[in-house]
Amino acid sequence: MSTVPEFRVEVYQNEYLPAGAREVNAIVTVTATGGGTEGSASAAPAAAVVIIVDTSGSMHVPPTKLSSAKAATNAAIDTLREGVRFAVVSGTETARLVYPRPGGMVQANARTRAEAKEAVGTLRAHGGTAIGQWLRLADNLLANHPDALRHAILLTDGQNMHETPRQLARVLRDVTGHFVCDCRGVGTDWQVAELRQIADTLLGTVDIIPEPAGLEADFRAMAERAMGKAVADVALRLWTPQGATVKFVKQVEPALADLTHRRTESAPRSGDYPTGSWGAESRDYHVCIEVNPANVGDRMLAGRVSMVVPGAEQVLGKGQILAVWTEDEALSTKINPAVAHYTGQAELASAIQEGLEARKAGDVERATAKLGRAVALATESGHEDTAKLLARVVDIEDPVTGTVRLRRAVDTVDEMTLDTRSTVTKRVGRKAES
Amino acid sequence: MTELQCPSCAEPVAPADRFCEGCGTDLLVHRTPVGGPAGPIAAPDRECVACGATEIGADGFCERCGRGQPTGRDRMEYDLGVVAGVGDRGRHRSRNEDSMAFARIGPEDDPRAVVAVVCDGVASTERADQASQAAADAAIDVLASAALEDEADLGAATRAAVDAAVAQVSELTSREPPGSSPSCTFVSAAVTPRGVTVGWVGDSRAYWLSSRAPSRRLTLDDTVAAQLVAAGMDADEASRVFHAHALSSWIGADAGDVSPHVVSFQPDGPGAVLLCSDGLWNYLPEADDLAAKLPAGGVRPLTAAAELTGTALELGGHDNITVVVISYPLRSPR
Repeated sequence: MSTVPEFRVEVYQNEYLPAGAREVNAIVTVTATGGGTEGSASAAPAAAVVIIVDTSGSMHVPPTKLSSAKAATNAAIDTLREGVRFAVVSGTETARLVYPRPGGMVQANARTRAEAKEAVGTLRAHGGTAIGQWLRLADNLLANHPDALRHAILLTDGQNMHETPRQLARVLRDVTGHFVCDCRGVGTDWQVAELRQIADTLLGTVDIIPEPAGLEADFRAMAERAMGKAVADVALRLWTPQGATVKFVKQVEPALADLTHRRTESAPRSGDYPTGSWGAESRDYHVCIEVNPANVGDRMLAGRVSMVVPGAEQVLGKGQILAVWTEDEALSTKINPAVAHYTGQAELASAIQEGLEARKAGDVERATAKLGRAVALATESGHEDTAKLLARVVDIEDPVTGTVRLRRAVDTVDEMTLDTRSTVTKRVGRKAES
Repeated sequence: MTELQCPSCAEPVAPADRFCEGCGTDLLVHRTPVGGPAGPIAAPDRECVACGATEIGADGFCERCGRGQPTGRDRMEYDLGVVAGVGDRGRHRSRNEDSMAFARIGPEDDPRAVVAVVCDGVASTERADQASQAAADAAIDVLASAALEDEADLGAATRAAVDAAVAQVSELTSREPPGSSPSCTFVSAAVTPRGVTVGWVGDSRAYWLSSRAPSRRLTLDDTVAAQLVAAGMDADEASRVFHAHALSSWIGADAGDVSPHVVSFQPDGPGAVLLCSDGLWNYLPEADDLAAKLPAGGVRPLTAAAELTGTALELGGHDNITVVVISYPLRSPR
């Protein structure tokens, strides 16, 4: 039996609102400590991992792509903790169970690891791409282990050509909440929006691996992170008062993910937002609630945030989002630095995504404006990595004002890297807190 | 014969004892706590101040509408049977700078006297809430001590109570940075079987309210406008005078020598003495209108004070509201 980590919920906000104001913003920092990850191996939670490798024909080009993918898969298998259930799926226009042969999943040990790697060695690249099929098989495999932390690692190099977006959407709807899926795109022939949709829906991460050589290290790190998870299916529960509207609930750190439409009603005036599996880690959420304003001097509980494991109805941590109306402008006009920081991050991400979209569509004016805005925001907020990525897509004349010119020739890798990583955020400096 | 015992520690006490030998409780004078009665009177099924729901969370917020329930000085309630008071922050001020203090001398079923004070902190001054509470607490000590004597001169006691309030507020001022001078108004009532003595400084008021005999205001505001009206000017004209509603007299270090107005009278029937801040009388200045708002029948002072406060809140609650009601004669209504 594994131990559930302890969750600490901290709220950063300026609770003072001017008279008549309705919108309450808060950054909620959730930190999980302890639990199965930090105990002995016997205390580690049961886990089940499916590794999905794209073996479509395009994986041959260049030939190192498939061999790198095999090496990466082997690295991930080696990283699996002793006793963890696992399976390897190869994906084309259908999904095929590569290991274990008889079906189902097996526990990791020296023998099964060796057998799995042998099976991976026999993989050949041919055929098409139907990611929905791959996810469906992973779901079937993981369904036999409902009490384990269920995780999938998905590698692809191409677009989802052999099924329609509707088919993929239907699969995603069916498997949502069943497991967490981290997605990696290798090369530049895959669609950022497509993988982001899968990762966001299945509460995992998405990243680009431009060179096949980089796969092995990334897969090992992903498997290590999966092994670090101690509790699955954690939800952020948000209570709001009668008459209030939740404008949005977004994860803003370590990456942007909008959870607003993932709400399920859990209790009167309460809704649960899925956050997936947790190890020892910390995440930030931006919660925006619209309330009916009260009188000057009144205090209101605009929201109560708790972390819960829905089935167990176990409350793991709690925090309060407050609203106090005041006529003191010195109080009400102060913007909480954490809220400002993540509002800026969200704006930066959407400026990049909209700018790249406009660029693709040939709308030079809009692309220049959006990407210029992104440069200014990245400069202002100290996003050096993002600023560097932007500099490969636009020529920057003035980083402060965001005066830029679109580059005529842009490397596809640079464009896709910028797009994929636009949602990766930087933690706010807590020293700025008053 | 049943032996008398201390209500606080159950130690046996003699009828003439003023203090309990066991725990030191004052057996004769029952008064509001020093520093003011913080928060509403605890009730198991208390309703949310905003939506009326009865589910109040352990963290003090309504589980339905989220409103933080009043704490501390936001809502002050105290009940001593024949006298009770309610104070409320109102709907527009961020602090409650009104204060009250009152005391009942003698047992609940047969009190010898009731004394009460309401002070309204002047909002433009720093720490006006502390000033008004310190003034009320100091004054009530003087009035309660005087009311212990059967033949006390309650007019002289009222003047002494104002002196004590001035001293207390000045003491507070001496610890403040120069330039900020907390100050407040003052209205008091001392009610005994022999009659009612009312004293005031500023624009907090006292009323005599009765359902049978005519009700009337007992005080004349220390404002420019009120004094002009008293001198014969038309009320509308007086209220247009520059600084018409500015206080012409108040309690504070910068107020100089203050001498309160003191009036005494013998009610000619049953009724109630009402002390209030302008948060109530701005909405209901006429004595008859106030009397009409009182619950009919045997008026329970706490009910009356809560009703009048509620009315002021419904009418806008623009200022802090404090209402103290003393029933006359000094009998606790059933």
